[in-house]
Parts: sequence; C-alpha cells; structure tokens
Amino acid sequence: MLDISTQGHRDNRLLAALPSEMLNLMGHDLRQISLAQHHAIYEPGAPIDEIYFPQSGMISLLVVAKDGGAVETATIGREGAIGLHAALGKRLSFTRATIQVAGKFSIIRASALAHLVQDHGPLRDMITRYTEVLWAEAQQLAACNAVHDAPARLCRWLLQTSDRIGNQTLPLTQELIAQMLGVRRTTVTLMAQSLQSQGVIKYMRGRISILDREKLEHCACECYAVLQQEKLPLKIGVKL
Amino acid sequence: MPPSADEAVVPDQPLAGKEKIPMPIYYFHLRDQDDITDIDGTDLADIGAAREHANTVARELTFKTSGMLGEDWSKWSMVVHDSAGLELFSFEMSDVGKGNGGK
Repeated sequence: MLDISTQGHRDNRLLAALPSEMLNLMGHDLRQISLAQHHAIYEPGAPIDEIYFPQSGMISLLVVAKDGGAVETATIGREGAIGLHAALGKRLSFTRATIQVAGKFSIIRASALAHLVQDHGPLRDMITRYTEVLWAEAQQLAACNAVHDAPARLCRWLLQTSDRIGNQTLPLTQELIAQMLGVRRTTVTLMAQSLQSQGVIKYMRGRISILDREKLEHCACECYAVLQQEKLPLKIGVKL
Repeated sequence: MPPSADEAVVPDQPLAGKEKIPMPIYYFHLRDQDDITDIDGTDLADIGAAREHANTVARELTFKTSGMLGEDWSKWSMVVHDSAGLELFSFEMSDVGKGNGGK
C-alpha cells in the first residue's frame, strides 16, 4: 500500500534517495499536486510554509529588481527541492519562486518536516548536503553569467532544463527563456533559429525540442558538464 | 503575476500608451549567404526604439562570440523590416560597438 502511495514521490531524486522507512514516515504528510505554469510559490520576504519536491515540472527562482524586473538565478527540477532549509527552523524566502514548467510536485508542510528532522539524522544530513550542492551551483552560475556568451549559455540552459524535467521537449516560450538568460527575446529567437538551421533543435512557438543532444552539448559552455546533476555532488565530495 | 519579459528586460522602454495604441511590429533578421529569420518580431514604439533594440540584440549576439554558423561577424548584417516586409535599415554586425551600429 505504502509503496504505491510513495511511487510518484520517488520520481523526485532527493526523495528517492531517502531510506524507504524515512520516506514512509514522510508519506503521511507528503501530498502530490499538479501545478500550472506561472503558479507563484514564494515571494521575497514571505514565510516558507511548504517545501516543494518536483516530480516532473520545474521551479524557477528569481531575484526581483527594484524596477520590477526579475532575473532567474536558479532552477529546480526532479533532482532537488525548494524550501528545504525551512525544516531547520522558520525561514523567509530570499527569492521569488514560480512554476516554470507545469508538472507534478510532492509537497510537505515545513512544520511537518521540521518535526521529523528533529528525530531523524539522515533527513537533516540530506538537507545539509543538498544546501552545499546548491551553493556550488550558484557559484558556477555566477561565473557563467559573467564570462560566457549568450549562445553558449542558451545551450547550457536548454540541456539543464531538459535534465531537470526529464524531457527532450521544453514547453517554454522565447520570452521566458530570454528572461531566464537576461537577454532580449529577439536574441533568443535568432540564436534558436541558428541552432535549428544546424539541426540541433526544433523550435516552434511555445516549445523547443532537442534533436541532437551531442551537438547541443558541444555548443554549450563547460558549465553544463560541471553542473550535471549526477556529477556536481561528487565534485564536492557529497553523496545525495 | 510577474511582469512580462519585455518589461523585465527592457526597463527603459516607454510604457505610456502601451495599453491603448497597438505598437508596430519590427523584425530583426540576420543575413549573410543564408538568412536567420526573426520569425516572431517585436512590438516597439517607433523606429527609434527599433534602432535601439537592434543595437542591443547585436551586442548580445556578438558579446564574446566570433560569428554565427561558422561565419565571422564581418560577413553578417542585421536587416530590420516592418510588418509589411519593407526594409527599414541595416548595419554590419562587425560595426556593433563601434558607435555607428543602426545608422
């Protein structure tokens, strides 16, 4: 019975990596929900009440500037979670978090997870290790945004997003990708057309399909290889 | 809801009247022997805004890159059309950043 109820939750890599008894304990409080694109999860300064583990969708973290503009600083897919640190105590969100790719998510109340964390070392360790991975990722992305050109960053971003959602077709508009990369929409359109003419991607309104992953990896900056979800934890000696 | 991407990335774009009068659409193509077509176009207030947009896009594309599709930027031009397909202006991509792009 419990195995069936935790099946969807195991699509999230962090949850899947937990010992079964731990996941079963959480299972009482874990819920599975579907969320649509643009659904708002956190606002800067607001309390983190719930923790989200993507199963198939993707969450985007955005730093909101004073002029109202927002730039993506991280994306979270099935390899991770957001709001985990709120299980260590009451926390406020630093960034805006929205659903970038619709999908299924496991969610749990921060207070419920906090309760479990008190008695369960492995759960606390998982939160600590995942935070270390996010910190490494943030440093790599800061460097990437400063030194790498837009076409290479676009390719890195497409590959990363594909990994995060476990799908070769990305249901994302040029507007959104432009916002994520901090460039004009036209710049994304022209880069995408260039990749399409080389048979690397197929670009339609509102979606991009990856046709030739190897070529796309060749066009991406080295940050993709560094940030790959299976490899990054090992680089810093962390096993998730 | 977060602001639209246009507002987010072009904070200096004039917003007044945006809701009332539909803005013209401009298309920013890249041309050498081949064309890279801007199939979407962008709503902008006027040709002045289109020149500014063209310059920004050209700078974003050429930043730390030597060319596109294996061709040096000196072979590429940016050609800007209106929605009727009429060419409004063009400039060489390798001139971008030299202060005369979009003229």
